[in-house]
Amino acid sequence: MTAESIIQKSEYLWEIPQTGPMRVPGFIYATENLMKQIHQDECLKQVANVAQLPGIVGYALAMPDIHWGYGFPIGGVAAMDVTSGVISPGGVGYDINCGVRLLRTNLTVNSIRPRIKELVTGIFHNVPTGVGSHGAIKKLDRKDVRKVLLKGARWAIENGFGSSDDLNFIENSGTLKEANPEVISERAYQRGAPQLGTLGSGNHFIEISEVRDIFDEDIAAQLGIQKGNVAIFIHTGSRGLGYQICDDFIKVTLQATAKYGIAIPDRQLACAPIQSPEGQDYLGAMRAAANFAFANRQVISALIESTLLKVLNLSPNDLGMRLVWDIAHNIAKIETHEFQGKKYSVCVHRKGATRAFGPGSPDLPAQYRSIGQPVLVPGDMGTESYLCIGTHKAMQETFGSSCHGAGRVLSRTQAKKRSQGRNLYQELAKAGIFVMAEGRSTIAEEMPDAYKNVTEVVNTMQLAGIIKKVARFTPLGVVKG
Amino acid sequence: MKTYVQQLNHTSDLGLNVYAKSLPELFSAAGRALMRLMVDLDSVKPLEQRKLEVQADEIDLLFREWLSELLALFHNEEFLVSRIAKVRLNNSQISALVFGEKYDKIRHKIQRELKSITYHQLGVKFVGKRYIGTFIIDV
Repeated sequence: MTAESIIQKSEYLWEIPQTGPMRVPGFIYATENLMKQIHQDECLKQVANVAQLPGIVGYALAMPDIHWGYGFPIGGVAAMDVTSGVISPGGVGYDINCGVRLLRTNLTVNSIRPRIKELVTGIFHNVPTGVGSHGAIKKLDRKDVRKVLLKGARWAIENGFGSSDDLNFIENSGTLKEANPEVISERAYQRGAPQLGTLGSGNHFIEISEVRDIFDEDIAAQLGIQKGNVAIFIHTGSRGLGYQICDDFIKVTLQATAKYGIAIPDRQLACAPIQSPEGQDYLGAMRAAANFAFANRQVISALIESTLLKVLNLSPNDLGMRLVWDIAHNIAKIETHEFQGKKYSVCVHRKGATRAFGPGSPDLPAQYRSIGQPVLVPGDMGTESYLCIGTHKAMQETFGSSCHGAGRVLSRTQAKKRSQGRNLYQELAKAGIFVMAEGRSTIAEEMPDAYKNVTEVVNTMQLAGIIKKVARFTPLGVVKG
Repeated sequence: MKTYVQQLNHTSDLGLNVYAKSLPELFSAAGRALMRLMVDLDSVKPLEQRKLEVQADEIDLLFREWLSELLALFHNEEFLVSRIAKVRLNNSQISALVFGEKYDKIRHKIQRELKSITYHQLGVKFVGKRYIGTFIIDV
């Protein structure tokens, strides 16, 4: 994709015109500076590839944190008409319902800073991290896994992890309906059984953060966020169970692609008509994996809460830990959206993109309906993260979607090269951030230089009117997988 | 002609180009390269053996299935492979003996999690008297 073939529509929006097999154009939210980084890899070609899929409504969208993925770009959104469109496991990704949750506390930064090593160490030991991590809770048998797949976060609450109030603050109340555990392979069950309540590896993390700036006092107060207090971010997903389901269903949809005569430019875009048996099976399996991920983050929250209570010797009331919001950023959902004055029932694929519903949406809990949906945008482990809210304009332009993070700019090889001869732990410690990691390569590959500037990403979406900034957080302590 | 492995500069994931003079050597080298992304192979003793048999309709897919099976040994049995032998291969089938041992948290320092072998840019090509296998792994 050459820079010349892309049209600048405004200071924050670019268009890949509809050409050749593309059914719709591609729209990219980015500033001129971010666009230069976006041109460095193959992600724009991937936007154009997604625009070729049957039933796509309006445009293939890219958020400013877009980067080269496999099949779909990471930071991509595509809404497919439910009757004529397709669903693609590659448009959701291997880590189904990878997502983020934000918890608020009554703790102040001043009281916590001297104890940050104890807290990070405590969490590191109580929440299993790293490859194939397991053993947070007793290994589930097949029956229990099935219940998790059907109930999601509700299963965790019924089993003593958190309170039922939490369900109000999770996308879809922590349970996607019409999950189908019957179409899931034994391998996926096996991989899921020991991994509930584990963080995993790669870019997954738990972060203890300081609420550094408030941009909207009223909304921050409604969300329980106060400057100078401590908050916690959790980033993880459906673990091996989700990876296996994606793998299994790419095979199914590769066959479906041939069976239904769908032309795709990349095998990883394998898809099936949403209404076909293959499409319905994948939807059911994906929802089940999403429920596993909601339960996973719910269990991890409870493990963190019990660690904080023990290390700090506090009562739950004094700690005041409460879920602010839990979002999915690798998922496909059937939603109703209006596009150019016409109502569509669409399957919105968000791969490395979050839902960002505006005020008044019936899908939001009563407490948040007047302000809009919280949007969580974590940055890299050395800089900052944002809490924003969705807007009416998001509903009009992006099928209620926004960015999900900073987005990588360096490959893992490049990051490792750049980290050579540097002590990243010390560099982060100098910046007041205490980090513990399980994987040997994790810190180098996930170094701050490997990511775009998250502030620039968030500011672009705010400039576009898709989200509104509420608060900025800076890290104090990080647990990486 | 030497068998060698080259890492691709993929932004979010890890990709490899593997070069070899024959298909069995290519599959074997790609398998070891995959495991090396996860763990130092010198630390994995060839204490146990497993027989792997994989089938697929075409060579690209066979290549992916083979690598996926090696990864599955770790994901499902926590079995790490350090040696691959007796590779028998045609365009739709591969069998091999793989040697390794169960994952030991103390002795095996895991570098990173490998989620899955993707289909993006997947391919086995014969170019200039050698085979090139390309694959990208979701990490």
